[in-house]
Amino acid sequence: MGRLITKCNDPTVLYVSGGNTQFIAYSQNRYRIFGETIDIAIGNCLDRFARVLKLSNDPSPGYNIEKMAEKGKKFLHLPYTVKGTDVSCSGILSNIEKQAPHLISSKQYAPEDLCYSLQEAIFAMLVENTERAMSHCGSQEVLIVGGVGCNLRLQEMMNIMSEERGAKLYATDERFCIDNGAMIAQAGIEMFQSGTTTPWDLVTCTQRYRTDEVEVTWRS
Amino acid sequence: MVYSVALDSEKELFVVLLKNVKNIPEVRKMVIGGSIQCCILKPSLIVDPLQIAVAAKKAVLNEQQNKMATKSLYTEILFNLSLSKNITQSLIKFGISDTDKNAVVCVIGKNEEELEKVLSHFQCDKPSGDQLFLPDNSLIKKEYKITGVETEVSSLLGSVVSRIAAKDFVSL
Amino acid sequence: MLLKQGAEAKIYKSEYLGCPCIVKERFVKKYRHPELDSHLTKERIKAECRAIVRCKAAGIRTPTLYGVDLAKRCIYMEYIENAKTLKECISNAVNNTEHADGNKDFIGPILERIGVFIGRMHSSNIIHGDLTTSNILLVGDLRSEDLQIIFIDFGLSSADESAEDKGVDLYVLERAIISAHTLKENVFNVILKAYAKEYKKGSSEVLRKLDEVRSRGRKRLMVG
Repeated sequence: MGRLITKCNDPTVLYVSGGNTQFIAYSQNRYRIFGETIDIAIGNCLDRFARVLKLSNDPSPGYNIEKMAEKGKKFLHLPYTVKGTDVSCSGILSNIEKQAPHLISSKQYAPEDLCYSLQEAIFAMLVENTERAMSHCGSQEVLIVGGVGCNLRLQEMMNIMSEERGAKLYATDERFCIDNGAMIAQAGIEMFQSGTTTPWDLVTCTQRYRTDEVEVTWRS
Repeated sequence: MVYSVALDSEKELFVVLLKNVKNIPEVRKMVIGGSIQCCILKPSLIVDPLQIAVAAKKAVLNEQQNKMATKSLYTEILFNLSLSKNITQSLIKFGISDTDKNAVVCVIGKNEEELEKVLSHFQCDKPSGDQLFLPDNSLIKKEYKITGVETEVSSLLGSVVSRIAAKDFVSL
Repeated sequence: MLLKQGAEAKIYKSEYLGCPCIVKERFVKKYRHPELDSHLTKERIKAECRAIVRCKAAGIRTPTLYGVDLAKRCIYMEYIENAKTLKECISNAVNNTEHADGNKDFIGPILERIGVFIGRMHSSNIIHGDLTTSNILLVGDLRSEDLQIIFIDFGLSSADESAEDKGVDLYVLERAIISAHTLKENVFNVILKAYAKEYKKGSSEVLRKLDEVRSRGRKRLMVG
């Protein structure tokens, strides 16, 4: 879907949402997972911290963290965890969950500062690994998809990284970042046009296909 | 035979091995008193002049960045040569002692004249063109904590130089 | 003279005190908060230096370290002549470009030795952190016992007892080998066998963790 909307060709993809965090590159008829989170997803991490700060769920916890972070000024060092091609978020989450009440009540840091620091650290981890994937695969395009992809700071950071490498960032707006029926339909059209069909009575729903289990017949 | 290498655009390091030095206590006093500018090292702990050069270059860099641990470039070289974080211990370990007969003299300056000036104070054999250094390999291995398995994968000089370069970050 | 530019750093060929050297200069990453960037860079430089020396002490060949300038974000180390990466060597073996007889058997002994070295590393609780086939250099005749195997690029390394981290180290290498080369699957097992033999005490737990890491992705539910 991202490729259709943004018209990019063969990007390295960062798929970040509440439930998934993956660095994806296309090769040999599959979307290969170059790296991923080894524990919780980025979106999950942000949502859980929003709960610690008792932020509203409307429109979404992640959006409210983003708004708070925009007002943050003071930077707090948090454990930065990149492991080879993967990232780990549970360490940084448990660290900030533990520290937050004390830091806020002692007025050393405002909640906005904590949101700011958390975002800066975990987005930097995402950008770093995306860059590593791009380096490895020789890619000049980046595409961000998934709910967290709506975050403007993440887009900004990814854009700075891409420009420095002479690569281009593609991002969709919120209509297509988060779950949408159109993307399922689009995949269907692609598959149909490349000759993959399934008899009606064999059709079921599988939520849990891993990204790299699907054979991609519509790309070369 | 004088070993020399540029440490930066202005400073050059000169190193020479002197044999049968008869007035070490006297010269030592002059160095400590500040009337001669140099450092005098125990030859047994020097594998190769590159070892001293690495320590000296580090000293020059730290001087530029105001990060020296000791008060002068020459004491800084002695400190850098040692694995120890204790300055006094380092000076005693690597610096020449009154009972030594041979000495490695190091001078940092602009040209060889400055080296000659320093050497004029030493009463010793004329420096010859033969083997430059007299390392005691087992003493060096002990001092730098180098064990058997390491010698399979690294030259003695490589091991020593790497430790000097990484001293601030590693404790072995 | 610029030799290589990776995601993290530029590598230059130069001279240090009269010795041919490489300069590894880590970039400022403008997308990062400046405090984070400065902190990370320093930590990685220190980790790299630490690992280079500790590997030598553990009996693993690494480049000689000549000097460090934290302010300039530079590490100066030995330039290794005629080095080929393991990645290149395996590719050549697979594509038969170097050996007309297509004999890939020389790869086996090399992989065994690599298994031994990783075993030594992990026995000393050194985690490489980015163990890919681009970070293992080979110097000399590939068929000879005198072939030098040199490990590089320790910026993400750490000192840890964790069997999980060691398992991840092996997993990264396995994926690097599988994704870049069409070799038979048992190639990686040659490394693991030699690894287990060298690292008698802890390897069984590490190999268990490796299995966990391998299946972790497959088990993960992809929801939302």
